[in-house]
Amino acid sequence: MREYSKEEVLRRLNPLVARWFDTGFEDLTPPQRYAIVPIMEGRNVLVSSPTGSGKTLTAFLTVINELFNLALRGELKDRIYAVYISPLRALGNDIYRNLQVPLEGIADMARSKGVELPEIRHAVRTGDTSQSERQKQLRRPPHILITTPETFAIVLTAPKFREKLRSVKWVIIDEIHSLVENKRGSHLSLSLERFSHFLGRDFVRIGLSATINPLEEVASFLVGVGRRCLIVDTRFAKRKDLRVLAPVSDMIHKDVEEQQRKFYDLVARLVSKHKTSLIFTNTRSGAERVTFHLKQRFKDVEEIREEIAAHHSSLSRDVRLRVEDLMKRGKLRAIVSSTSLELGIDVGSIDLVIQIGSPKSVTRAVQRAGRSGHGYKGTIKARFISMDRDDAIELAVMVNKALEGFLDRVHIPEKPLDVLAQQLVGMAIEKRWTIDEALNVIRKAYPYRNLSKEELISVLKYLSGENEKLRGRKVYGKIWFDEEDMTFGRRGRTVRAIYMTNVGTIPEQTGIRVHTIDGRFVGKLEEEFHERLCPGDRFVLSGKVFEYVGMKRGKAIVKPAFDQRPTVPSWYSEMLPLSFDLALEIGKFRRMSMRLLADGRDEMLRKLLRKKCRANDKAVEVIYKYLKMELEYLRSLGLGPEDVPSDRVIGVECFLDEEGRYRQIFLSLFGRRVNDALSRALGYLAFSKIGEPVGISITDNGFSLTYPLGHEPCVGFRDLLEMDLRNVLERAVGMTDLMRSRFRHVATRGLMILRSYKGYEISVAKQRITAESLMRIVMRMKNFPLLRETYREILEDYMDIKNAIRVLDWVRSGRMRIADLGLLEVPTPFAQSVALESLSDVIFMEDRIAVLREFEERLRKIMAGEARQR
Amino acid sequence: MKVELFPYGAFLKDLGVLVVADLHLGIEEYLDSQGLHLPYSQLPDMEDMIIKALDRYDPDGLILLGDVKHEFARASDQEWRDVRDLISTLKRRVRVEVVRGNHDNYLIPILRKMDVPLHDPMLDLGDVKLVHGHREVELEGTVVMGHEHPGISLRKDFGAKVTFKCMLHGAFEDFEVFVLPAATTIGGAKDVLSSEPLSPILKKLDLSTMEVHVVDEVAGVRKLGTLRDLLRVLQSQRW
Repeated sequence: MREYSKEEVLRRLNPLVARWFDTGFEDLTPPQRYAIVPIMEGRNVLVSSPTGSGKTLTAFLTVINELFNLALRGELKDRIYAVYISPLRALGNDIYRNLQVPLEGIADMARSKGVELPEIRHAVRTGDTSQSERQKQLRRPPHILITTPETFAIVLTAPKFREKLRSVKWVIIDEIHSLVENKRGSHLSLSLERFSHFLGRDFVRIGLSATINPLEEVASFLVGVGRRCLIVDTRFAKRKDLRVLAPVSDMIHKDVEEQQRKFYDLVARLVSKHKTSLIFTNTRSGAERVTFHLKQRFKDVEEIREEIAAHHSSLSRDVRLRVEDLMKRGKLRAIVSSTSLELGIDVGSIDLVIQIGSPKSVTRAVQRAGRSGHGYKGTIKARFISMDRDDAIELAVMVNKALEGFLDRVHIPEKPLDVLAQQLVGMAIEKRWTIDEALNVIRKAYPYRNLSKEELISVLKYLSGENEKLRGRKVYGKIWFDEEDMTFGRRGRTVRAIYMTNVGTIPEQTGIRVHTIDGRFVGKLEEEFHERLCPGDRFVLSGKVFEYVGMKRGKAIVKPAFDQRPTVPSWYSEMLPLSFDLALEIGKFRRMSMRLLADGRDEMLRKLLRKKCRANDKAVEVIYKYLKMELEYLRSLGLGPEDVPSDRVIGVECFLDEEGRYRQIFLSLFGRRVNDALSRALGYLAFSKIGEPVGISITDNGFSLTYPLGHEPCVGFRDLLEMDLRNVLERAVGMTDLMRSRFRHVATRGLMILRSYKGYEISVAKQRITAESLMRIVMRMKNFPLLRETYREILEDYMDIKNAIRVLDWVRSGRMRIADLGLLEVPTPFAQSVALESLSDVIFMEDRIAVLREFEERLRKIMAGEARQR
Repeated sequence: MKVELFPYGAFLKDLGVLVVADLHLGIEEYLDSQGLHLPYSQLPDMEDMIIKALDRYDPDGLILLGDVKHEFARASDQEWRDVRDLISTLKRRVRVEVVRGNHDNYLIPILRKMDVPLHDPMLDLGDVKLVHGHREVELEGTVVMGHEHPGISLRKDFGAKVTFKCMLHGAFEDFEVFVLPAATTIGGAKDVLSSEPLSPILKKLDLSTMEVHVVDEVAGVRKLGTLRDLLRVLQSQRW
């Protein structure tokens, strides 16, 4: 990697473009210094740097320059020369506007010199683009096409439009960090290889990324197997001003309302001291809540109150656009967002980022914080507010690591077969393929580099309707597959329409709408939770207690039961998981601080928190007291600092819950993805031993098993060492809610269940019913690819089986120790958040006879009891 | 009246006939047209099930209690084929008659061709009325009906739930009602505890005193208790 000066860059540019650039920009930004020239030379480049560092122009300058060269020479044709792909439609629109500036500016400059140039066109094409606009693009293609991964896959398969793509020389992928870790990325990686194969040549790939790690792997993802890529790493170019704050110094004894008040005082103070603050919460409901309270806080200060707005993906498009517009024009004082503003949408200038609660990974913390600071020379300024004690420790370690330049590793899904199935249908529509030719193309995509021929054939067999159990071949037969010749191709004419309307990898999520008897809308329930309800159950929704009455026209009907206690626990599913890498760092921090405390070096610990972790006095106190209390509790049990759960110790303890049930807590500080795997495997073992459902609760710091009344804990952590984790987990998740909902997603991506058919949208409810019937059938089939993929997705992407196995190896080798505290009256301080966590899932295999028998037994008891009373 | 249950239908002992309701043959093709693709498995499953019952009870007749086929507005190719295949197989064993259901609009020509009697709106045997259940009927003697697809969801610890098909039996002052489980193998049963009844006949009745008999291929047939009692048990459960 070599640095180029502005002069060196200008010299290589067309004089018009050079003049425009020279008048507009004083100097090159760091990524521009390194990346522009290599891109001009036709090399693949991955640029990783914070927002506002001129990444977009880095990528586009070469494109603009060459388009003007062509225009000047009179060689500009009605063809597409560059494709820009962004994961967000809104971002595409931003880019459209941002390109307007140079394109018009340079044309004007030419005109003033008496040179009339043909117009250089750019256009956006996404799912929102109208039919007439699409027609127009076909007649007069834009020179630069701005699109999304999904629409890119569609145009690639459109017989006429794709011919316009023949001349593409550059493909720019923006925000690549938000694609690598999910199936949208796997999908895009295959689209790029399909495109390259269609062209019969390579094109220049330019990837733009926020801070991410490791760049080498992301680069491989960008360019595929066997191509070279230059990495331009200017991730750490900006200075950082980060701090960890706590609203109070005692998070245990102060009452909740007081803490709430102090918390909003703190946020309000930060907001009023800055020009524009961007506030991140971890959930959408959190964003709403903070917006509401903040407006309340400023109810007497109209100019601030009116300038606070929420921005998240549940808001309607109109509201979102309005907020974005206000934001760009600098009209907002505070914007509260969940994840929607993480990505590169232009947010105008932000001088402070406030993060509420832990963002769960150093990388995410750096990405979010990086939305602040003007331009590339500005300083990143972010304040992290801790909401509870574990949060405070997490944030302290996170900030310390961020300042050290530590970043968590990305996880790239390995050869997802559902996405492959979808792309194979697209490929079959294009032409007739031999297996080897297809395999060659597919394996060039980095996530599929290890795809075996057998795996490919199993997917082709599924797509061609060869599976005996799936009678009704015509339905599944989207392609034909000739096993003799080893060739495949499209079958039937409807396939194209099905493909075009079902492209994509993002599952539809809906909830069950909840209304009161008199028709008032109260909120939404997760489907899995709703499924468990029986009439008469009382539960909490939007902070109030309701009694479940029943279903009516697809809606859940409830009546208020405000003054009563809920009878069923709340149910939370997917929350942001703490990254494994950061979890280990927190464990290390716990171990080190315990040593300091044990040596009586309390002041040293405080100083470290202040200096290295940038914690304010209150946060220092919160963390200090928490650690101290844990140590003292253990000492009262005759234990010492070496028994505190850390990166070397897994704690186990047990207590009786309010209902008198045993709750066995495992303090395994590895993040919830690893804990998910460990807890379900152990829960399954417990279930197999007692034959009754076992409740599991999962947090980032540990997990717990709840045993049904009358059963004592019957498993230990060491039992995990004896088992084949993958095998046990597949059985454990077999019939769970998680499996059912994930299978629906996989089957939808794999086009087994359609979202849209002959112009009709298929409701999620219907998709679910179909998924359940299908799952019962494919469960009986050996190695059905979409079932295999469901297991893989759950074990590798949703959970983290790889690191779970690593943890077990550490225990085996003695590097990790189990400290079993037995039955305690009160859980240890570190265990309390786990003890309070509600149910995450139930390990339960459907034994229909047992269910009936037990129910009869209960019925008999209740009746007998009543007979006696009478 | 004496009724013996099997998955999924009933043997009416006094009359010596087997009754099966809500077959919904051809539903797969209908679902296909809606973009919901399931394997075509209903016909063979249904055939097995009815033949087993014929072997067991050796009845004088078999009555299909409405909704033999699925589509309202036409008879699809699959429906023609499936209905013809099923009835001709069964006819070789036993006398077959059909009571008309709300889905059976285009069934008449098929039945006529196969010489199968169709009772519309019901088969009235004096003391016993065999109806589909989508229309009101005078409540006297014994009413045997389908239409409702009744099911019951039972719960174990921590809210794990299992749904069973069931038969509902109500003995009222001067009449009794039997609501048969649906024979269709696609699409589950509807939990009678958490949803309102579909049939105008049931809408008029106090269901809470009706007895629930679970009918399940794996768990067999078991009488559970009245809906009122079941609800009490469910509410006494903790997660």
